[in-house]
Amino acid sequence: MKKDLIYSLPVLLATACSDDAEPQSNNIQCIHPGEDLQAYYDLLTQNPQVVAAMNLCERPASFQTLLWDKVREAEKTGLPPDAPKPQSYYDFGLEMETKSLSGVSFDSNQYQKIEMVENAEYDFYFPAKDGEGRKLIISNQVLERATETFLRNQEEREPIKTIYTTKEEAQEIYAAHLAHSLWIEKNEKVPWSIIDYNSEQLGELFGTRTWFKTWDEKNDEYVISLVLDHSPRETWKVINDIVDLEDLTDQKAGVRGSAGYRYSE
Amino acid sequence: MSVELIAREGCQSIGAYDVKLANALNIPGEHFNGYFNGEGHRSVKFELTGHVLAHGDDVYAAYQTNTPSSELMASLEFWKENVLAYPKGEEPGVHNSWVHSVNSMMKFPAWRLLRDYCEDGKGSLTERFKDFASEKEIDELEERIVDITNGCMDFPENSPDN
Repeated sequence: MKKDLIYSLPVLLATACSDDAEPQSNNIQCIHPGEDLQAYYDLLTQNPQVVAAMNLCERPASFQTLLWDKVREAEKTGLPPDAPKPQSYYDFGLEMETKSLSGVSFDSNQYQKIEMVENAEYDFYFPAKDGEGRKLIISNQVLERATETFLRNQEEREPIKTIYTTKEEAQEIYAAHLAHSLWIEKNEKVPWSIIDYNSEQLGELFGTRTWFKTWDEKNDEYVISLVLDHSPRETWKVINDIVDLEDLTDQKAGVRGSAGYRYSE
Repeated sequence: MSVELIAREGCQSIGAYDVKLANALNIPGEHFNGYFNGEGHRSVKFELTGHVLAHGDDVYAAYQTNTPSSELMASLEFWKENVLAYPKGEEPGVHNSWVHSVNSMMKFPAWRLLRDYCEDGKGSLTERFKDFASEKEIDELEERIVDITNGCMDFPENSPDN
């Protein structure tokens, strides 16, 4: 299949790729996305500054394939690219329905570790001794209250603001966002174009720091902070709720309109 | 992203949230810390459009809930000259970081401000705005509030975008 083949892009593109990044090898290559996405390929070859800002050619072939698969899916469905939430999101108990508590730590001097009876895959720390040091039997009702208290305290006092992802999760999220930007551009979803942006603006839009507090391939550490923007499809739903895309004339209108989220449901 | 924020960290989260929404429209932006009201607060900057959201919390701050979304952001040019030009946490940058927010509070008085005035009198306005507005401007605000509330008889709901 053509999309699986690796093509060398024109010299101009290869040169642009090496501007802002440390190449992983001297053999800079970009994957041809396949004939069905030729328009995207043309967009990139005609605008090497976009490729450079994404550091696309320096990224592994597997990442590039993932990105093009995201674009292909968006073209097929008519919906923005998607990526799942990282597993740690669920492990931290942020999906309230599960009330999973992996990763919770308490002061070991005050709390004794016990295991949840009904959900043995998670450990739970709880003050399971009375004042005289006798072990207490924890009923499900008590456990339920403790869980709710923990979640409430966590929200009020020490909210989770950092999500760790695996390399694979991080790459999927990042690929989805780059694919989304290209999909927006190619399908003219907004009346402005990324090809008019300078390198600084493109860097601000496409850098890993836009979505990740830490993107450290050397130490295999990928961290999202403050807002989990894992899926452009989810974000696009918000946009559509608060912005009338037909009325957007320029980026100023987009910025002003996006502030309307404060009154949306 | 619509319903599942990682953390509800006030201006810290919402500043980042604001940038993410713009990014989804292929608009670059950045959020930064430490300039609004001195240390510890997050602001948003859109260099491309010349906008600054002075404080992430402005989007839901009680006294700005009647400010139209289109009027919520300050001018980046003003911020560059009057806020970002000074070291974080130092005057007059700290004072200047409030200017747009305070102006919008006065220009689009929110339900909370109407209630403050009608419960606590003009002193509530003077106390809140004395460092940013003249006596004449505060007098004019009082007149407008009296007019809006029909002499503190009616308290219209906030309706910023309608």
